[in-house]
Amino acid sequence: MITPTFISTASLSSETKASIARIQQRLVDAQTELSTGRYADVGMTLGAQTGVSVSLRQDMDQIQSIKDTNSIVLTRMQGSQAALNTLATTSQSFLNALTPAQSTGSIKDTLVQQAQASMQSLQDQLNTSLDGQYLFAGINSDVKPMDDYYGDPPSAGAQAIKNAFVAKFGMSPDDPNVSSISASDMQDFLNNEFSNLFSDANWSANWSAASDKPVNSRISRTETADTSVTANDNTFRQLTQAFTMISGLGFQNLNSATQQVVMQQATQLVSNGIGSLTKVQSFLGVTQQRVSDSNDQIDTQIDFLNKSIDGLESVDTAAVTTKISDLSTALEAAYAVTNRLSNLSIMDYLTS
Amino acid sequence: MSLTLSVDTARSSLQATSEQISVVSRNIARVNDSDATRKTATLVSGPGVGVSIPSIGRTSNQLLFNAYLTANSSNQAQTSITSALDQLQNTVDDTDAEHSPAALMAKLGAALQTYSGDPQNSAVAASVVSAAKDLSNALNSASATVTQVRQQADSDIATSVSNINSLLTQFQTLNNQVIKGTSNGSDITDVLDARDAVLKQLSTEVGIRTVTRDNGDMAIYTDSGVTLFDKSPRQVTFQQTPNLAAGATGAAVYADGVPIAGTPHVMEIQSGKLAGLVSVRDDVSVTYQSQLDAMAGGLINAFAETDQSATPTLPAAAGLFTYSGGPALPPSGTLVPGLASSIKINANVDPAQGGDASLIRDGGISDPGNPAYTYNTSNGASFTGRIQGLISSLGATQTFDASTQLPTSSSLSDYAKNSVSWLEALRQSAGAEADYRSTVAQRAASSLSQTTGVNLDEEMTNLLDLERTFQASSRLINTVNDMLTTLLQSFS
Repeated sequence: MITPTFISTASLSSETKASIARIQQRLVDAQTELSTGRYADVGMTLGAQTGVSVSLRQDMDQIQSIKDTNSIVLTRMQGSQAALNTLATTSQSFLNALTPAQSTGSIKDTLVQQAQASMQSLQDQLNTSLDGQYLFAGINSDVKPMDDYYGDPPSAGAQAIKNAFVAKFGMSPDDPNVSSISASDMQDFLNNEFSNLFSDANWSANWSAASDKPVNSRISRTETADTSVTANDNTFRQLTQAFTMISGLGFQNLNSATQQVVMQQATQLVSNGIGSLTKVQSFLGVTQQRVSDSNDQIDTQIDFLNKSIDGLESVDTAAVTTKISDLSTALEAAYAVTNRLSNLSIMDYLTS
Repeated sequence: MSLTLSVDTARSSLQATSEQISVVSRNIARVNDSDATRKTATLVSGPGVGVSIPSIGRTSNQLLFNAYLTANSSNQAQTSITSALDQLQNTVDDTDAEHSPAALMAKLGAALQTYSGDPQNSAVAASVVSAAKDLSNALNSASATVTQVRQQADSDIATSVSNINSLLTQFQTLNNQVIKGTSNGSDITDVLDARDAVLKQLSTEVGIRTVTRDNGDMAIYTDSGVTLFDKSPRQVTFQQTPNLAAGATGAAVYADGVPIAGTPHVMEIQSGKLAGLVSVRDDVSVTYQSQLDAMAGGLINAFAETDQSATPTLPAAAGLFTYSGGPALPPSGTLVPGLASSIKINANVDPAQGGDASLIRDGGISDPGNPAYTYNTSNGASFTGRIQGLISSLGATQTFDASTQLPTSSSLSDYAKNSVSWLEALRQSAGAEADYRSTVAQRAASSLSQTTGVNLDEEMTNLLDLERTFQASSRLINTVNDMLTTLLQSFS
């Protein structure tokens, strides 16, 4: 009774059942792939290469965050530049006022006012803040760098000038008798006691709450840069020295020879100050350029990373569509075969 | 030759045909039972006494049957491993979901970078803490998943062992019936089917080899040669471990007093669910667990704080990340089991626990107020030195324990990435192997079924033949009866 080719009824039906299950599984995967555009199970498909994909995403997170911080840093540097520009304009117009005053001697009263205004502008600019951060405070960005020079009580700086003056000449700068101070005494005072008020130590003690350390930022994966200028920079000290020289030493009451000495000293300091202000601005400008260059590079990298991730994980939509239609055809065929087989029974042909 | 003899022969044919029909009906009844084999009733014609059916035959194919047992065992072992790997893969998830420790490490790095751009902002500091918390939680839950997978495997081993024992007991009963039936010549075909069914189930649990003796007796050995059944079942024993935390080892499985799995031994079994489960419990999961522990150790060390005094005297202490043994640092480069489950955020830096998030910028997380661990000595609100330092140490090369099967010298994020690769590579190869083995097992099952199973159409055509024979024999008796009647009438 054993025929050469034998097949059991159970295996006949289990075979189609298994093949239908297989096709359905693949169809579900293909549908997921079509809807997401990525492999249904990326890890299973890529295997050991999955780490590459993970690592690309790690890089992406990193440079994306660098790009975000770069834009904050750039905004800050732009704010600093704007403040420095204003300061440059103020200093320049003060210098413009000083030069004719030395020869004519006619506009000395307005010169004092201008010095006061310039000092006001200087402290306003150095106290520029952005989003609660003082741009010129170095790393002490939560502290206002400059005390109000004209405040009441007077700032430590103003007080220190007054004290030095009294110690040297035995009278207050407001005293009308300052006219008796000789040019050589004033020169000596300016060169020693007064100039000493703006030394590193005294500046930090009396004038500025800023830190010497500028803010340091990571601007690319490998580069860090100082991205701020602090109020302790020599530039600002020179300018303050020049402004307070005119506004704080009883300038209007001095005799004209002494006034001449003061104005000469102030002119020199302001022109030096303007020169180094330009240097500070160009330093910031160069850093700004580095940051925006780094951002351009990051854009290119992000583009590249996206493409690489796509290259690893994405499926060819056209291929998947074809696969789905192939699988549906196969599934239909399997259904048809099952139906045929179940109808194909010898029972239907046996007559009793 | 006499008419009476013809009637006797016809009667024997009727009897034999009924018996054959009963065999056909048995076959038809079990047409969809994959354990049933096709029975055949073979006619023997004796001299002068017509036909008889001395015994019922059974279609079997020992070669195909053994092939099935082997394929089934090896398929089951691989299935256990694949499903465990799938569970472990949940700790990594899709690369796009970015839930893996590797992805969360990158997120922590990104949060630090954002913080370095805005160090004065305590909200940004808190977001660094929350990124760190996500990472430590991910490591905790990954470690818990691994423990759960091991625990599950351990309890599945216990189930498998008790299945084996109960199958062996069943086998004994059936085997005794076969021996008895063989000696007294009764029909044992159904018992043989049942005994084979038990063997099939047994091969699901453990890889086996069988030896058949003359009297139908069968002995069972594991694929490694340890006796499971010979005349009587051998006891398979296993002690379940209540808590399989990182570093804990599970008990071994013994058969007949010989360790067959769970401890290195020459008699180790190669296939079956039991072999797969033991490999899950003692091999794959343990390695993955140790990788997680190494990651946790690397993190704690990368964020450690050192004495900043001019002449350092204090030891380095755990900073942002700490663990049950903190603030002392875990040894770097050596595996400390259980780190991944105990790593946590230092409460001193967690605003939710009353800590101060800006300590990330300033240092001193390990011991707030201790100037030795303070990096931001001038207390600058935009001090970025420490944050930049942390970003660098996250990317700095560290040494890892060689037993974790990953490169021993790499950055922490690369190590985490390598771990993903390791797991997915294993999963890919295990998946491919499982596909292959399941195809082989399916093929073996279908070849066995095709050869030894029942075909309904054939049974029906056989039934037609038998019906004809029955009709013919009945007609013969009828005819003889007619002839005898005619004879008797002619005499009257």
